[in-house]
Amino acid sequence: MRFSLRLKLALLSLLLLLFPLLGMRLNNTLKNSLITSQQETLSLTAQAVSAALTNRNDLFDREQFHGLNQDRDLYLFQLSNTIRLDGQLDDWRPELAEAEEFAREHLISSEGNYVLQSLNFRHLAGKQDKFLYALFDVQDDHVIYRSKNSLRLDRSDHLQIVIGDDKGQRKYLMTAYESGWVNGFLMPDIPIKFPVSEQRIQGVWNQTNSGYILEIRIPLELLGNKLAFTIADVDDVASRDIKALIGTSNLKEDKAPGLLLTTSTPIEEILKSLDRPYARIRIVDRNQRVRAQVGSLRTSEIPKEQEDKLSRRINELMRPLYRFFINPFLTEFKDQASQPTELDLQGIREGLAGKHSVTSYLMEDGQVEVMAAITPLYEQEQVIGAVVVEQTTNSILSLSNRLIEETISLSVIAFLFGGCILLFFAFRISARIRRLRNQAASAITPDGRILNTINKDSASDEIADLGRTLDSMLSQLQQQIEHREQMADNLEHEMRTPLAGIAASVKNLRQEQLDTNPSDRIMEYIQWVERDVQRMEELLTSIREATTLKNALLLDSMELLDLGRAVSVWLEHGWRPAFNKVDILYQAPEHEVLVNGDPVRLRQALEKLVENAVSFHAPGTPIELQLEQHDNDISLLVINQGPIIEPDMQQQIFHSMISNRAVKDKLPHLGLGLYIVRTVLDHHDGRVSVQNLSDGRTGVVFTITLPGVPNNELA
Amino acid sequence: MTYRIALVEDDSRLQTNYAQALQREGYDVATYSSKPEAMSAFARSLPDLAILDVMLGEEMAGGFDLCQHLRSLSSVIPIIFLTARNSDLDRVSGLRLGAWDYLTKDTTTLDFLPARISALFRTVEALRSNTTENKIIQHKDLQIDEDRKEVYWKGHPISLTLTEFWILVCLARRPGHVKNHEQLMEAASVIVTNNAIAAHIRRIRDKFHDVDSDFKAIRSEYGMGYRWQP
Repeated sequence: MRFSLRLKLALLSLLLLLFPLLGMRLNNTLKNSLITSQQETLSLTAQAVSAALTNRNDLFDREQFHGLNQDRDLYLFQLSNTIRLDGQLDDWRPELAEAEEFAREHLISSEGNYVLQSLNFRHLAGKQDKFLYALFDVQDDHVIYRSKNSLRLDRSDHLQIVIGDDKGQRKYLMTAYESGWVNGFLMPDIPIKFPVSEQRIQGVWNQTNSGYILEIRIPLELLGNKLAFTIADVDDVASRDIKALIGTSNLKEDKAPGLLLTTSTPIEEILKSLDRPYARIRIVDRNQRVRAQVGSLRTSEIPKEQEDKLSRRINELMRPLYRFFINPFLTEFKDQASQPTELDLQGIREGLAGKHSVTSYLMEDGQVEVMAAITPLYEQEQVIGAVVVEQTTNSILSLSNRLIEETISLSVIAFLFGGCILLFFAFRISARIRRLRNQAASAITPDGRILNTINKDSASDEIADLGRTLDSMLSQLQQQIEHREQMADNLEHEMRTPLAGIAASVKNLRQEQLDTNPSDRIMEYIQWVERDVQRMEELLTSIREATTLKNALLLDSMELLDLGRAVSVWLEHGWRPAFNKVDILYQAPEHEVLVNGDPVRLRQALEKLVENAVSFHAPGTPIELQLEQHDNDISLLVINQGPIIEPDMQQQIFHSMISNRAVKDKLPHLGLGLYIVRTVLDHHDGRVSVQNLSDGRTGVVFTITLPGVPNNELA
Repeated sequence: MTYRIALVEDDSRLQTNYAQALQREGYDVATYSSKPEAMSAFARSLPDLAILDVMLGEEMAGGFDLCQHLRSLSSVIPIIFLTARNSDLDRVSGLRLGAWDYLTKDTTTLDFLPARISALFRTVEALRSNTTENKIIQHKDLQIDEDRKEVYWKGHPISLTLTEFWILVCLARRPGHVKNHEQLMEAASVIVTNNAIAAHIRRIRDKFHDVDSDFKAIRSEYGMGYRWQP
């Protein structure tokens, strides 16, 4: 598999993607350390709160942190909705869910066996404004109203309210003639006195399918620190005896009602003075009831940095990308208006057992993470409650998200920008190398001629150096080729004069000898010298012809020529007489095969090929000449059977001074013949190539291709 | 009378060899090795014929300079150039020396030199005698005076060297007949390659072209030979 330089550099640019990864990692570390520091801060805050409250015996006494009894104590919720006394449940939401069920376990007395259908109720009490509101959703199979004829209040289904304070206990009753408005009656201490109507205790009695709903309100000023509600059930209209009593406190046994617990204003004042913004501090008593609460989980608006248009646009573009990486969180959420009676957080029991802890939990379907530090609250080395300091991790998340966003934005920008630069760089380098490669490839033809030089690159780097090196290599090669050709020319010229001198001397010698009647031996020697001198001259002449061929060709004139006929003539008058021991097969075409060329040169070139074929042909096999006319060109094939030419030699044999002959024969061979063929063909815009025979015979075929003459030139 | 030949050749052995060969032929040969030497000799007396080597010592065209000098002294002295380089032939031919000659220095030089010298002397004599009974070849637009070595095409004189003249005469004697390379070599008293004959033909054609751009009378026969066919 081949990777281009371009692709490799493009792949390398992917390394830029490491930056966002590093950014993420850094961000993670930062986030963790922020979270740790927030945990510490919260923990310290919790301990500070705890310290501020510890050993305030009076306070906790006053605020009823002692002698708690979960079964009897009434806990007042801070109601979130305005309660209308209308006998409907809707306005009690959401605290309604926290309503406590009262049934057998809270049975104070019962005539006969207690049956659930006979009496059970849901009860909820809460504070709003200056009133205590209480709801009783009573299931009663027989709702018995007060008889209009009787003054007795306790001879029908009714509600007993016992209020205890420093001065003692007061008992109120509420009953109804029918569904509708009701108010309380203060029951006298002595039974012979009459009940006194208490208009400040108001309520609505609303009969339902399964019983009745009683909503009441009592001004807070009427209340003390203790309170108990008891529902009395009368089922028999005739006897009107109280069949069952179910209440929040068992007054028969305990004599006193349970404590009325609510959030403590003095403690909240102390907590407020601590001034921890963006944190919610809650104090829970040993029963995990929230007894004080200040602050809110809501964080202040995270200040948005001023963004210019560009960064906002980038931000918008990138938003889909951010989503993969950032932790979403809600900045807008509801603080739960009222807390459950029991704060049940992980770690709170441990806190009440005397352990510090920091925990976190999710709110609003996991959209908000809240961190909570819990620390126990001591009074005389007794744990009387726990401090819970809570804070959302929003500020950290927001910071972390901003960091992620910026990391991503910067990374994407850096990636695009850096990637573009890298790509540009890659393309440029690649293009330059390609150009160099192409130049180098086209500088030398497959047959080894140097056509052009390499353009100098103005840059001063390694690629330009490479170009210059290649260029100087090419020019050195060119010089060597020129030198080789020049050397042949110089050699020929330098040898010609002494050779002429030898020839002249021998000529004179012969003449002198003829006058003195020489011996045959001497004449023979002279003859041998003459013959060798002539051979040397033939050699020199062939070198000269080859080396001066290019210049000589420029002087030649082209003419239209019927190559088919010309080959016949050359064969008949030249080659067959010259090579009479070899069969040369040629079928002249019937039509004219016209080429534009110099007949002497074409004949010379073909003659070299025929000579070549003759000297390489296997004895007894013919040499074949085939002339073929194609659409645009004409090819002439010279085929001989005999040794083949190795593929890597097939281009080289057309160079000057290259000879592939294994055996020497008596004719001089300087490896110039095929060089002449190529030079002549080049001059005629033709070409020559060689292949080994592929038709089953062993041998080679030289193919000369010449451009055909278009018809319009014939006219 | 004995003809006096001046031989200017810088290679002393070749000079001596040629001189002795020519003396054997009965000529009076004066030899010079350099251009100044030859020039001072010419100033004293002119030879009847000069054989000049083109390259004299370091001077690539010393022979041409001598030729021009000699021409300024006399317009009729025949001059034969000896060259080692084939490429010089075009330059020699281009000098428009009249029907004089050039030869390459090779192994056959001495075989043909005496024949040429005597041919040139005959021409000189013909020019001097001024007779009207010269051998004239007349064919259409072509007129050749064989003795005076003069060629006219459509009335214009064509200046050919001796070799070129002999080739043209060989072709023009039998118009329409193909003469192959060997026949032309024999006629021109040279032994050269086919390509050299082709070069001679090219030069002859060029010279006719100079006076008649439509000249096509020398036809090539598939590179085997040529014929005169106006």
